[in-house]
Amino acid sequence: MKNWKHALVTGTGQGIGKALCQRLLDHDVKVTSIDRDPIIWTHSNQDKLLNHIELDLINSNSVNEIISELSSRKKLDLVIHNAGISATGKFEEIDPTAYENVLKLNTLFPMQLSASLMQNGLFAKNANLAFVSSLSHTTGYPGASVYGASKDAIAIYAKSVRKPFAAQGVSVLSVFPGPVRTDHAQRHAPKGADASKRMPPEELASRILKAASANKKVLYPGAAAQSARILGKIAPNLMTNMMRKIIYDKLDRPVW
Amino acid sequence: MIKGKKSLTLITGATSGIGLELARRLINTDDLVVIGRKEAHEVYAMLSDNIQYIQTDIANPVQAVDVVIAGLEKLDIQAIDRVIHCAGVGVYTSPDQETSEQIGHNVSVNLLFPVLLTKALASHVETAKGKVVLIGSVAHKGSPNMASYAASKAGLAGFARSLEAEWRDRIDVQVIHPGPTLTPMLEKAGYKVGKEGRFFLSPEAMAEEIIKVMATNKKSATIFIGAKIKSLFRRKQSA
Ligand SMILES: NC(=O)c1ccc[n+]([C@@H]2O[C@H](COP(=O)([O-])OP(=O)(O)OC[C@H]3O[C@@H](n4cnc5c(N)ncnc54)[C@H](OP(=O)(O)O)[C@@H]3O)[C@@H](O)[C@H]2O)c1
Repeated sequence: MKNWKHALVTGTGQGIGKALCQRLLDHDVKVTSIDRDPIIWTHSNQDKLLNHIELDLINSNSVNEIISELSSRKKLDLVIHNAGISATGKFEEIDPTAYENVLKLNTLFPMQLSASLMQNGLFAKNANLAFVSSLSHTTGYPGASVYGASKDAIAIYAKSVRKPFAAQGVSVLSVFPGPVRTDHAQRHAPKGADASKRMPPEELASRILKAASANKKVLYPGAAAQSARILGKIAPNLMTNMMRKIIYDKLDRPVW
Repeated sequence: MIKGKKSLTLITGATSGIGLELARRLINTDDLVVIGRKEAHEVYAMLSDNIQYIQTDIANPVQAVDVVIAGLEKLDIQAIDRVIHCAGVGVYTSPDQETSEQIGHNVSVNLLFPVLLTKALASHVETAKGKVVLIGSVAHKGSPNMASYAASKAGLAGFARSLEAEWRDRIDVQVIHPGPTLTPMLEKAGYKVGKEGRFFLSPEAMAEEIIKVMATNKKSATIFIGAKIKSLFRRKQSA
């Protein structure tokens, strides 16, 4: 793993974000973690190295608060936009506020914070910036059209800023994970879906940090994600129809 | 509503550029409900007195959707044959210069409003067995100098792709991606047109192509160089 000094990770209460923090703390990296909830997990390095900010990123002032908190600290050499929420169910059945929140958290916040970190010179030299999109970027996602849209948007933001940010010493990584064994996936999956096929969050976290260490541009973690990437390229309609059959037709309840 | 006209089209962004040219053409065949932020008299002057106009600023998406719904109720409109989302904004600048306000504005106008309005109008469109048309951009594949704009259009394209699959057999969803077009948007975005402008379409030609694509059942279409060559050819012929 690269010798990072100060990392920022969002959505650290559980799942992938928690696993990322723990991996980084294992390697003595100072971590600023952000979540709307307090941290309830523990780590032997946490008192020394973990600075947790309890903040709802959907708030329009969250970017400013983070920037002012960070200005008195060491520059960042790793930023991972991991926080994300979903809204699954029939498009018309979901509350419009949920759509607003999905787009604010998954799309708007990561773009605003990344641009603000640049403007305020808060990246160290040779920094890494990672965006956790979704494997849904390779396909249509009936039953989660706004979630899918939010992840497509952030994937294309990452692609757009890759060159200009690299010119300023920041290497951009886009991550397209398939199903991960988290509470989030459990909540949104159709009933009876097989959880054992989902990647453990610890494994995904390791893969993300490895890819960022190597200044990789994109990461499709695992063999299943890589096949989906290829299928999405060569047969996008087939893939969307499959998604409709395996997810949309089986959705038994709207969840947001 | 005017007698003898067949379908009802609701359109955003019809007060400038591509949308204005679209509306000018659709007026001959459709009843139009125009959504915009300009004053009503200006809109009637640029289009016609025979349209319905609902004034609202879609940069405040939640309130704007309420205004549109209230406006439609007042007009006693329950069925809409076609909703065209053409309003859009963008900023041409390096991504490290984009302010939070600009990014937020792009996402609100280009993505959040279309999503919320599509939901709010779902039953109107289904009643008419109608169609939702989203105007995207070739930038949806990524653009270093319009990063948050490209992202918002990628979101729109992804939204269309998923919703089309979800609504199949119920409501048609189509996304159309225009290539560079010589509209007031370029200047508003801070883009200075150079020699490459020769390859850009006029808003009139773009509107003609969009109307043709809207008549097809293509889920997604891009209008770019091919259309430009056609329009040059047409000009030569008529010269
Ligand atoms: N021009 C291009 O090269 C190009 C290329 C690809 C895609 N597109 C897309 O095509 C569509 C039309 O663009 P255009 O070039 O015709 O742009 P334009 O001339 O600037 O027209 C944009 C339209 O959107 C409306 N609008 C913007 N913000 C609004 C708000 N807050 N509330 C209500 N209405 C608002 C404008 O209203 P006002 O008249 O009040 O400003 C105007 O009617 C956009 O979606 C754009 O992204 C354009």
